[in-house]
Amino acid sequence: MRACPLKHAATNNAGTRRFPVWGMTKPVLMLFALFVLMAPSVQADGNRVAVSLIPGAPGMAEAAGNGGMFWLGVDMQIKEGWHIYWRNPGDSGLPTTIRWNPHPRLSPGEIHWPRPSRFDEDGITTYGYSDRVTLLVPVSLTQGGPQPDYGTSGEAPGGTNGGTSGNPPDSGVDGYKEDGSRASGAVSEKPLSADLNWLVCKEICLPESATVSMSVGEGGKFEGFSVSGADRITQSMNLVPGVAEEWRGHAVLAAGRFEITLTPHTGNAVFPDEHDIYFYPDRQGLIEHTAPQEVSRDGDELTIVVPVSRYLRSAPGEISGVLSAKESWGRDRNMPAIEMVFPVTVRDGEN
Amino acid sequence: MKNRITIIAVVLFCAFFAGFAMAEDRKGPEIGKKAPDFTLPDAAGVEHTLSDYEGKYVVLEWLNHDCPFVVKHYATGNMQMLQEKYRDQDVVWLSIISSAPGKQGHLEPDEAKKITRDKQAKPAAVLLDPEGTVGRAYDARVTPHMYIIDPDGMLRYMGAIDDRPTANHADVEGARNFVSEALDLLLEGRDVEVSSHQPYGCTVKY
Repeated sequence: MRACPLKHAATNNAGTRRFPVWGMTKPVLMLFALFVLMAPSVQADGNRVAVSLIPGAPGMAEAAGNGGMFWLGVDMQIKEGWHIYWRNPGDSGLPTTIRWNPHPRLSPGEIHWPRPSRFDEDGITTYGYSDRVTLLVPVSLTQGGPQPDYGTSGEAPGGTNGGTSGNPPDSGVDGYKEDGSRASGAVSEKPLSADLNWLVCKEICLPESATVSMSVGEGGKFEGFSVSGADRITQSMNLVPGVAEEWRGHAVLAAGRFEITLTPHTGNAVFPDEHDIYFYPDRQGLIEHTAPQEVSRDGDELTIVVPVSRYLRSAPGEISGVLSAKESWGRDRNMPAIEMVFPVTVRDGEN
Repeated sequence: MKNRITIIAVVLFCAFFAGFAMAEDRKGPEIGKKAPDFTLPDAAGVEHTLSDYEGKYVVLEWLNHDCPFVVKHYATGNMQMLQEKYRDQDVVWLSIISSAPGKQGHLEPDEAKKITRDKQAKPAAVLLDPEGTVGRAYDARVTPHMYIIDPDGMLRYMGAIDDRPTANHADVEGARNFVSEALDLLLEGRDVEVSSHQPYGCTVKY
């Protein structure tokens, strides 16, 4: 099927010599088309990760009704066999970074990271994602949120605004600043855009980058919104570790190991199967990532023993990170991963 | 006042025992202890034995020219600058390639010679460790993973080259370079302030 537009293009461009590919014989052209069709995993830009933005709300008005914020998914589809990194990449690697371009109406916050997976390779351990991950970013509406006139999107304040296309990219910003009453949301706005950088690895590592953007249409509508996209955000939200009021914990540093102890704090705490529990520390240099973690349960006490990193120079006041399990840590909610902070005490122990 | 004393006491207590706890037996070298001795051929086939360099400071640099984190330090000239600067102060700089044959970064002797010349690198030698024996003895996990050994053969620093764990070339400038900081202190006869730091880079391709 793809061969048809190609052939059409071939006729049109035959004389220009700008695309030598058009001059190929028919069988070669078909082979070429086949090759193009068979190589969907590498992006047009040569990247191993395809990135797009998924708005979690249809537009400004819905976000305003949601306390002036909405969730934006940064969807990363990763070529098979490759992986990218969590906020703590582990023994090597780099976390994905997002640099948002300033926007007059939308203010993105910090990344909320779904719980990572663990990768063991070449004698080291890293934390990250394969296949697909949707990073979540809370976006606040600034300058008071949308105006009531969003419904009248057709009636743009004509003379002053010709849409974004005719203006320099930043003119919209100034427009908002000058126009105190700001009966403005009706026109297409500046897109929300960001520069992403990530490291993708599979035996070898490659730094990649992309610029992504979400258009804001008439009436403050977020382009690209779909029900399936919103579902994707909900799924990803379930994988972002929650703050667990249900649990309390502390850690003891002794004999080169952290002994992390958790106990239920409310009646809603549920013990997941300890075989699936893993502690992902928030930063490098705290624990030996490669070492097995010994998880055991004794009555109401869950204990995780992890060797201290050889690069830890002094005892930290606390260690924090994500406790991941297969089942939920709370009775009434789907919470397979929790954020915990453990105050650290140092014990002489058997030393 | 009483609180402050308590806090100081607790901090000192913690620091003491943390150091103590970490001295536990573990694979790989330890700061303040004898660095594992080794003999490896360089790209010209000449054998280098670590203990032959006793009396001099030695820097070990784990190297993979295809690793973006290594490229950051060579493309900016940072690594070459350090190699040259400390060569002039009688420090022996050994770059070690532990990539296995067929893996990224592996170089045959002629290739190693050529790339060293092309990059204008200035180590005393580029050592070839295709079996990864020396890499494993040092628990070298990433490139660049850096070690400093003193004239008595004791390990004085291990870990990251600097405090900017990125592949971004712009991050070289202004970074706190732990290797040059430690070498400068040692060469002045002072103690190293940061003797280890979580290393960053690509995995060593054993």
